[in-house]
Order: sequence, then structure tokens, then C-alpha cells
Amino acid sequence: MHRTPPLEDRALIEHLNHLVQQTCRHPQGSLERQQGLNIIIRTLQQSGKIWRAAQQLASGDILPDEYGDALQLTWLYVCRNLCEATTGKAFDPSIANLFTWMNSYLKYRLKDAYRARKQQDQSRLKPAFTDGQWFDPLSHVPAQPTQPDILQSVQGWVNARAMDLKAVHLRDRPQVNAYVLIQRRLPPETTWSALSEEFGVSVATLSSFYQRECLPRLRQFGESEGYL
Amino acid sequence: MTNANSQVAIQIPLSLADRQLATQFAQRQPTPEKAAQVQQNTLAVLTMYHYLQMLDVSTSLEGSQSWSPIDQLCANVADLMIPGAGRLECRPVSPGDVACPIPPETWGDRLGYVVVCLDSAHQGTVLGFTPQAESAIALNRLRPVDELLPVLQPASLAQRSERSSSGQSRIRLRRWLGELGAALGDELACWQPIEALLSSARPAVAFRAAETAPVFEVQKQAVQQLYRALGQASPEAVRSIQAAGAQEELVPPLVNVLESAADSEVRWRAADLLRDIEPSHPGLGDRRGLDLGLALEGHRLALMVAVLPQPNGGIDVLARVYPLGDALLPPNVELTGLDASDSPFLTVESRARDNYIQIKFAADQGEPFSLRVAIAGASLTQNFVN
Repeated sequence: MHRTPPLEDRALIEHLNHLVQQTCRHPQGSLERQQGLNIIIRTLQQSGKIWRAAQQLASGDILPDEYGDALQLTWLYVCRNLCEATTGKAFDPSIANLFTWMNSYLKYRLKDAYRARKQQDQSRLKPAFTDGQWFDPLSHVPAQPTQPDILQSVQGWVNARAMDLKAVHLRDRPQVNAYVLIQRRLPPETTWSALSEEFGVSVATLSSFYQRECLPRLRQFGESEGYL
Repeated sequence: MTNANSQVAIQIPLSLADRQLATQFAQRQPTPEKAAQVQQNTLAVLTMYHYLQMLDVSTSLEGSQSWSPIDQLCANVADLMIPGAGRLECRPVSPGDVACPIPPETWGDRLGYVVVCLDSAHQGTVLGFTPQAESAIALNRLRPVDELLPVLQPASLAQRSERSSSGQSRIRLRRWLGELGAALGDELACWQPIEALLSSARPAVAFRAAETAPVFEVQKQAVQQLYRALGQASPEAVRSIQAAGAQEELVPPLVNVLESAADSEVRWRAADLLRDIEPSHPGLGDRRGLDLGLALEGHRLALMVAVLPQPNGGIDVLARVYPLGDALLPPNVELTGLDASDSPFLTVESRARDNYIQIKFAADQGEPFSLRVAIAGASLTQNFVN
């Protein structure tokens, strides 16, 4: 698939200014504003003019994590301040075009990240070469405490409430009940299509029963255990 | 992605914090398969979350099932809660995939299904969406995300569910809240407060507003239930309702439900409770009745229309037909909602022993709607315009 050739820069900038003007005419939060923003975002992305920092990424001056984080912040900043000042100064096409405005914010965020990394590097514990072996202080930091085993506690609850859960079943099909379905859908779960074949009930009926009769009960249990 | 999607797809950067959160959710899963599923679901939801943040569409991660440890464990869900509208399912795919499976446990109550391609650790691409649940959607059949935006407007869920339940044409209604009188045009003078209309005609028949308010404890329990139905109740919030010492303290939580619940049933229930405590609260919208006796050849019936404001400007509409004078409606009274082209979108008919019949629907910016009451060949249609 080939891409349509990019418009001349000036034509593109004018086109974007026009889109911004159209979009900002509509009130903040309106559907029309959202649709306009969407078109502007897409136009910017397809223009290929957002700074990619290719060289700096290749040389390691900028890390991929830093670029992703900075670009995420930049998009939010652009969208929030395009029409009116919300988190920063509002975009003013008489001062800079949209690309220049966006890219300069992006570069500032990347500078912040670079500075923060340099500062951190100076204070970070580094592996040391002692007695002919690398000693990495970070490898001696205790691991994160493991999460309470939710699966185990759900299984405990299902078994304790087996009688009640077995009483909740598909009409005229006592063997297709909440107890069985919850058990079978807990990981490692049986697929819906396998259950459908086994019980001779459609996937839609089974999953609808699960949504209506099983998940709410599980959530209620979760709430009582504080899994929120 | 060698199809039309690449032309319209939107790329969203993912941050280190996004990946850490996805890993954290994944780490509490018991099997590697489940962990991978939760990790991808979380990243798809976060991609959509950042995208909607950019577009200034409000979302609630905490109100999403995909953020609940129980749902993560017991279901394959990747929903993002849009307050006032409903749940949007965000399904992850990988580069090279040509179709996206939609898990059966998400077929129930979604605004739509967005497909997000997790291109790399640092980027998710919003490919498009489908409004319909099906077991899998081919990626080249996805609709552009632009068409999704109207669906995310408040009240869309109610409109969709009415549309799907009636199988009829789309409801497009205009806002007339607070201006109910003005909305009714020529018939303005005939509409009156429903309580006055019903109590003058049949004082012996209990009407909700005339009923004794439920005792305080029952009200508290009801409010707590609503909070749970909201899906974002913190234990603290539920406890603070439990600790309420006076009816008035239930007003803020009820207003909160009215302002944030996506489910119109939940909001009507909240309005009923609030009306018992504070009948003139501005959040309750309007409720009027019309005596249909003259129009329907002597059948003594009343049409009640209630409107409830929605969080972002739309309204929920409740229309009921009551008997005047008798406790029961005659059979075969028909109440119909009609859209701008006069196509019925919702109809209900009384049976042998009904106290009243009703229809509920949601109204957003759009065209007028009408209500028609018919019995034994006689009918009356009321048009509601801006």
C-alpha cells in the first residue's frame, strides 16, 4: 500500500490551522470538538513531521522508554491546549506552527527525562567488581511481597458455598449451575466452546448465565474480601 | 495491518508506568496464559484511556471491570467505563493478526468493541471498532474510530439498548428538560403536576408520592445497593452511607448516583429515593400528567411523562398511562413511543390486570419524539419538540 504524497509544508500548515480553527469553534467536550481533535491528531501522525529522535535513540542519548513517556505527555498537552489554555499556554498559530509548537514541547520533556536520568545515575548503586566477581547490590534487594492468592481464596469460597451455588442453575438444567461454571472458568479455564459442547447449551446462553448469575456473586465475594 | 485501517488508525504512546501497571495486574494471575491475557487486556484499555484523555472524553479506570482483581481472574474482560454512557470493550491484537476474537463474557452490555494493536512495548494503535458483539471480527471490517465518538456520548447506551430490544429504528430525541411546559406546545394548559391529577381523580389509589416514605434503615440499604450497582463504590463510601444519621445525609450520595450512573434503571431508582427525601430537589427533573378523557372517547386515562436529567445534557424519559377513577387499566390500552419519522420504537399494551403501563427510553440531542396512547380504535398522539 502506498501513501498519498505529503502536501507541501506550507499547505499542510495552513490546512492544520484551518482544522484547528474549525475545531476550536465548538465548545470543549462537545462531540464536534472531539471529532475535530481526532482529525487533527490523525493529520499530525500521517504528516511524518513529529520529531522521532531517531539519531538520539540510536546513540542511546534518549531511551525508548523516555521517548514513549514524553510523547504521551506531549499528545495530551497538545490536545488540551490547542484551543484554550488548560494545562499550559494555548496554541497561537501567529507565534509558531503546530509542528514547531508540538515538537518543542516534546524536546523539553525529553530534556527533563535526560536530566533526571543523569541525576539518578550519580546516586544509583552500581555493580562493583570485587574479588574477581561482579557484585550487583540491586540483586540483593528483597523481592516484592507476593500478592495474596486470590485464586485460592475464590476456590475456598466456591467450595464453602457449593450448595447455594449449585441451586442457581439454568432452567430445567440443574447440572449447568453456578458452582460448575465458576469452577470450570477459573484458570486454567475450559473454553466456552468446549463447555457449550459438553452441556449442549449455546455459548451465548452459557456466558449470559455466567455474567448474570456468577460474576455478580464473585464480585460480591471479592468486595467482602477487600479485592477492590 | 495491510488494509484500510492503516490510513485511519491512531497511534497512542504507552509509558513505562502503563507497562508497570499491566505487569502488576499480570503478576497476580495463577497461570502464564492468564497473566499474558491480563497484561494485554490492561495495555489495550490503557491505550484507549490515553486516547480518550486526549479527546477529553471522561473515563473511569476504577469503575471498569478490567480493573477489578476478581474480574481479571474470572473473566476475559478489557472494558473501559465511560461515565454516563457505559462500558467500552478494548480488545488487544498483535501485529499480523487478521481477526480479533471477542470473548463471550463481554457480549452482554458493551457500547462497542474497539480493537487495539499492541505494536510494541511503547505503542498501541487504535485500529477501529465494531458496535456488534460477535465471536470474532475481521480487522478489515472494522469501522473507523471517528464513528465511535457519537456512541460515547452520554445516553448512547440507553439508546442502543432500546434500539436492540425493540429491533426498531434509532431513537433520536431532543432535549426538553426543565422546559417541559414549553415543550408541549398547544396542549400546555392541559398538563399538570401528576400528583394533583391522580389524587383528585382517585384519592383511594396509592400513588408513589402519596405513599409513606420507607423507614430510614430501608432507605440506607437501598442507597448502598445503588452504590454497588454503580460498580465504583469504595468500601469507605458504603460505610459512610451506613453511618448516616439522618435522611438528609443520603441526599449527596443519591445525587452522586444520579450524576454518574450509566444505567438508567439505577438512576430512576435513585430519583425515586431522592423524591421521598427531598421532593423538590432540582436533580429530579420534571413529572407532569395529562388527562386523556376527552380525547379518548370517554376512556378515563392519564398520560404521565417524567424526565430525568442525565450527567451530560441528555434526558431519560419515563412515560406511563394510569387509569383515572379505577384502580386498574382496561385491557388493550397501547402506549407507543414514536421517533421523528413517526416510526414506533417502543410499544407496550395493558393486560387484564395492570395498574399502569410504561415505557422508558433515553433522549439526546436530535429530532423530536412522540407518544401515542390508543384504545379501541381511539388514539391520541402528543409531540415533544424542543
